Amino acid sequence: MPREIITLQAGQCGNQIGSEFWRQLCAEHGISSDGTLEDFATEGGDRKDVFFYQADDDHYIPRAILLDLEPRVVNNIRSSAFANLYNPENIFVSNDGGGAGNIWAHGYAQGEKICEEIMDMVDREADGSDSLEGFMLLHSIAGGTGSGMGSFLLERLNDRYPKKLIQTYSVFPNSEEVSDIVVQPYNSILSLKRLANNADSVVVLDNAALARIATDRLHIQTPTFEQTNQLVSTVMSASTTTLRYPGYMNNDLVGMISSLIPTPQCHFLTTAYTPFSSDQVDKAKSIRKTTVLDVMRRLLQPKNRMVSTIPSKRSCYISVLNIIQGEADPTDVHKSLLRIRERRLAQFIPWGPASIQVALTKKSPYVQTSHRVSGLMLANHTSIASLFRRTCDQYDKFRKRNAFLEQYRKEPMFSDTLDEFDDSRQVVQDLIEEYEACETPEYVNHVSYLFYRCWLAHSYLHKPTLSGPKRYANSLII
Amino acid sequence: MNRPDAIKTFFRSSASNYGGPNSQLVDSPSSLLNQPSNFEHSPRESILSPRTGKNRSNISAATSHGSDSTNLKIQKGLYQLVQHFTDNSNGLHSSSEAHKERAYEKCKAVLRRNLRPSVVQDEMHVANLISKKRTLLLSDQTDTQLPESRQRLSSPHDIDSFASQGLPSLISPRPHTLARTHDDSESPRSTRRKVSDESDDSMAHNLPPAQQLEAGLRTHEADFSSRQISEAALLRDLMFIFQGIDGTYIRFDLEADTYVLDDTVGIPRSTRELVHRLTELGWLYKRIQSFVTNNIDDPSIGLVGQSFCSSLQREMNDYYKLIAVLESQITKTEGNDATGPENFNTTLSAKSLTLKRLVVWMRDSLQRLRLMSVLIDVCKDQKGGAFVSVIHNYTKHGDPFIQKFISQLLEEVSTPFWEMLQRWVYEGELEDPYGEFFVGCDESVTEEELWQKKYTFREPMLPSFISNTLAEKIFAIGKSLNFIRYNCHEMAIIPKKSQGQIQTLRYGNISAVESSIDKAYLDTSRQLLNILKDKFKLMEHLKAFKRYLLLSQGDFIQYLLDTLGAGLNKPANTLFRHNLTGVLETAIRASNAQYDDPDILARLDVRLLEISPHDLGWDVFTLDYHVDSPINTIFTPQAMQQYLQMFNFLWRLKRVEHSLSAAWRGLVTSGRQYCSIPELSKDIRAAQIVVTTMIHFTSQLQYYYLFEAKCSWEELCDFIDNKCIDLDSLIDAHSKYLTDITTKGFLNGSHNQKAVQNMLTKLFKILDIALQYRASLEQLIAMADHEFARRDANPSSGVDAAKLMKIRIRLNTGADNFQSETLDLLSTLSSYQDDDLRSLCTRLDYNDFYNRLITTTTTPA
Repeated sequence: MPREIITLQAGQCGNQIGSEFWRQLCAEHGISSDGTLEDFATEGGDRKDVFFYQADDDHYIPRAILLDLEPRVVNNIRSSAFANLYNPENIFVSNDGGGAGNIWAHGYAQGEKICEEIMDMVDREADGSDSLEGFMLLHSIAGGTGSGMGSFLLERLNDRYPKKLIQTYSVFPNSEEVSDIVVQPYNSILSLKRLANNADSVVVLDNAALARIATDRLHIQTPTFEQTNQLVSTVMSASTTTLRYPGYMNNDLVGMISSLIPTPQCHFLTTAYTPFSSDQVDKAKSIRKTTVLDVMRRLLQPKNRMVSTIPSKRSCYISVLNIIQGEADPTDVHKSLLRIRERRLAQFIPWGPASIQVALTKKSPYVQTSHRVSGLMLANHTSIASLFRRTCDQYDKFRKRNAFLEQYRKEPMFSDTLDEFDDSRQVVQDLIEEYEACETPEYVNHVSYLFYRCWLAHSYLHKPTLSGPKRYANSLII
Repeated sequence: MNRPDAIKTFFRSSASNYGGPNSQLVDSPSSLLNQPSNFEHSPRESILSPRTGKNRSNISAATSHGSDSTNLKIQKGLYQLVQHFTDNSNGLHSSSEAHKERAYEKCKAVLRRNLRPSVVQDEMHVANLISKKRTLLLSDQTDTQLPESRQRLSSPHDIDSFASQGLPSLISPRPHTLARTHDDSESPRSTRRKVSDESDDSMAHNLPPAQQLEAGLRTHEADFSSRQISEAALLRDLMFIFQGIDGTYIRFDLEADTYVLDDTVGIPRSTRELVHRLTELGWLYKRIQSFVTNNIDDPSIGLVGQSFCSSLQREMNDYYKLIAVLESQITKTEGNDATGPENFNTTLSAKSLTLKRLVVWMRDSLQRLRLMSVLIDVCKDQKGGAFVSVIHNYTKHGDPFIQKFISQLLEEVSTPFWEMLQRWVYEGELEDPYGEFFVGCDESVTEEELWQKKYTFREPMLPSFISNTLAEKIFAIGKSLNFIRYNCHEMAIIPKKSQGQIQTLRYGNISAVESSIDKAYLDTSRQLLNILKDKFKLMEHLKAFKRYLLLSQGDFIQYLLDTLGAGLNKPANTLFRHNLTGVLETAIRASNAQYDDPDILARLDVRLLEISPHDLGWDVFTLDYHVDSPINTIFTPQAMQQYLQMFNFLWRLKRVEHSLSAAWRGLVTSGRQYCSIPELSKDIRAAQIVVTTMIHFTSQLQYYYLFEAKCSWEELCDFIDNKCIDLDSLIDAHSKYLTDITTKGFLNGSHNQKAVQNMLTKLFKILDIALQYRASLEQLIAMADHEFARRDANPSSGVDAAKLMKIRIRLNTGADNFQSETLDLLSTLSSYQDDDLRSLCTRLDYNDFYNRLITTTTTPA
């Protein structure tokens, strides 16, 4: 009963991150590019079956489903060294090959069309696992396929596997610069609604922050996609180490995120990782002294965070989990915790107990790093709301002018009404309010509309006999 | 005046002159140790050149000899005087001999101070003194009150002299004694001091004119000279005496335990004195010989005792040789002195043997015999190591002669001990038929307990030249060898004598012994540890304990929790061990445990503790790990007990954690639909937050525990890898490790058992509250599920308010209890000075939430 996790990678970004992730996992578990175990990989203690299963000839196959609406990235994977790693039955590329054209609505609509096919794959994988823990979705929310089809998948998975956890690694667009995707605010808002309503845990990765880290930390002036994706895969592999190297604690996804996510509404996690070096990313040069305190302190610094948020004075941590890999001295951990507390390096919520949890994990014996200790922080921080607010602002600007909506109107979902946009905007607003409430001691009494709207929308879509959402919202307030 | 009295007088006075009959008695070691410097100037010199020795002793004897004869005369006269006086006063007292005796003693005491005749010239003063003392004497006769008369005595030594009458030990009560007795308790030191005091005294006081008494004495002397025997005869007698055979004139008096010179023989007092001295040898010889013959074939004396006897015998052989040489000398002397035994003053040739020469010749032997006699005394009833210790004490003596003698003796005597030691250290064999070695063996102890119980350390049998640390090492070496042989069933690598790896251990070079013992100790211990580590997989077992009993193998434990959870919620008596074993098997197969050593997995087992009524499966379920010989020496039953305690503690924590995360999963995954029930949304939200709080509590507790355990574990690993020297230190380190982790788990209070117990109770209470809360939460969720399903069909009606209220109350009480108990625990924790407990406190309230709660609830009042 390995508590399997099925990974779904959707769209260009999702597949790129995914292929890096699998490359990393293979390296850490000593699995060669074709899935066979390397000769040197004899040391036990790791648990490959969470993310892999074994074929009849004992070679390891990732529990991964590759989805894209255009063949480019998937073809790249197919022609790469890891081509034979994946189960070919689990690769879906749209027949027409046109892609979603960066329009969420196209992605969502095509997802609906190929729903059967995809859910077949998912069901097959789910049946192949003894005790499925949940799903992991890798995507970006800016484009068309990852955001649109990803959103559709979230809804479907939630419907079909209501008791399974859904964790996503969602790459947010670089909101600081003008993007080549004009409609990304629309895509983001629509995706955010699904992330808020249908995912249990969202690990937010921000292209802006990734680019910043690549430049500042790794001294790469113009980071390539591959390099930033390596950053993401590093974070992903680090955040799953406790699942893959079972220890006393955090052996399963529930155990890990239950301490991170106190209320299901606030499930957006930020990450920080240190130190990045040439081991993970080519051309990264700097190697510094790494002690547990150094690592834990750096993890709290905004510049190492992989999300660009603008913290306010009231921003605080809801929860923190530090996963420290390598030769960490446990006594150091306690000292570091005390130091951070003394220096007030981290603000915490006022309405409940919160602390920095530190999990020490093994390092893969097969991957050599120049650092003694490395650390990943998974944190639930209220400043994530600023990211949503920024998205909302951009969305509002567009929406006021109803700009670039033609492509959306082509799909039936938006052909008659733009209610879906308004509804999504409302959900994101609720989310922002939820996080703001979280900063106050009264959060316990805060009434959340988040899932209520979701349920209303659900009922609305499936039971048109019911009146519109507004009425229910009002009745709730009364 | 009758003859015996006169002789008595003679001996008493001479005794006091020579330092008393006790002065040369040898009894306690200290007296012996002090003695040689007193009267033995240079034994070696006297042996090498008897002439110088003789001269010297002649010189030293000259003064005393001169005064001796005078004294004798004085005393004789005195006795007559006393008799005369007492006869006169017969009218007043029907005086008895006793009275006379007393008077005489007093006179003598008075006179004793003044034995040197030539110091004071003022005869008038002397005469006055005498008359004064006579008056005193007479008044004493009439007046029996001693203290009064004592007051009139001028010197405190007079009182001493009086007192000495009451001390039979000072003046031997035995009449006719020639030799010294050996059973006196008075130490020669004090006697000697007394003698010197007295002689000082005699200088300070004026003397009575010895000449006055001389005439009386002369008549007496005539008696003596008429019964003189030849020195050669005495010498021949002495030769017999030396070998414990009675002579013609000198015989052993059994009653007095001394040699007695025939009364009728008239020889000068000085000669008697010499004879007296020499007979001591005979007395000593008899003692030693009887000891040897009594014990040499007696097994109870032990090997060391036997070797002592044999070395005594060897010494005696030397002594015989000496006697043989002397005897031949006597024969020669007799040949030379054919002129007649009557003439005592015959001029002696330079080579002929005289009594005085004999004294000198015998001096070394006397010393040796004395030492041997002392050793016989002190070693009585001693055995083995203690015996050696006792003898060893004498090597600390300042006299090189004694040191050397004892060391030589000890080297022989300790041979059996060293042999035993060697066998023990290099072969592990305990060859000790008489219990003389400092390692004892209890044959009844089974192999299982060999390390702990089989061998005992016999403190009294430890020779004092072996330090305790060295002894412990020796003890450990042999034990390790036996452990390797009988428990590990391995061939102990024993150094071979032929390869020169063994240095013969012997007395005298203790540092060499130490270094070879050290080497053997390191070798053996290393070998034992290596066997334990390699063949018996010590580290693997330690890790297995950590993984399975301390729940480090997360996936395995998780599987157990998942599959057993439902079953363990039932009453304990519905559990069946075979079912649980089945689950264990599958848990092993399903987790990474499957890659573990099959030998280790086979040891893993499920056990059910004793069932008491109302116990749930959770309360009685426990994992177990079988250990057998030899690793059970490290994993003792006590250690196993601690491991099981830890397992139960952690298992309990895990159970709560597991239960809470299931609750969380339910709330989160179903949370979306529950929001459609506005009546419940608040309850759901509150429950979510409470569950998170509880999860926070349990996870922080576990993190705390995990880190502390990890620290202890690393300490243990580090110790085993780098510092561990022998099995004992390993066992200690392991038990320290266990104590550490149980202390951290509040299971073992090294400082304050009660406080810790209290803490554990509180902790368990909180955990129980969490479990109860979860149960109530189940009801809420069931209600919500029901409501959700119902609402789908009929959205208009509301929830069952009364039922909801009940659940709500239960949940609220649960939440309140949890909070108050947590606050209580935190305040208890923070009141302790212990760093670890405070660190737990910090972890549990890292963001000061509870602290603020306390301040806000207390300050408003």
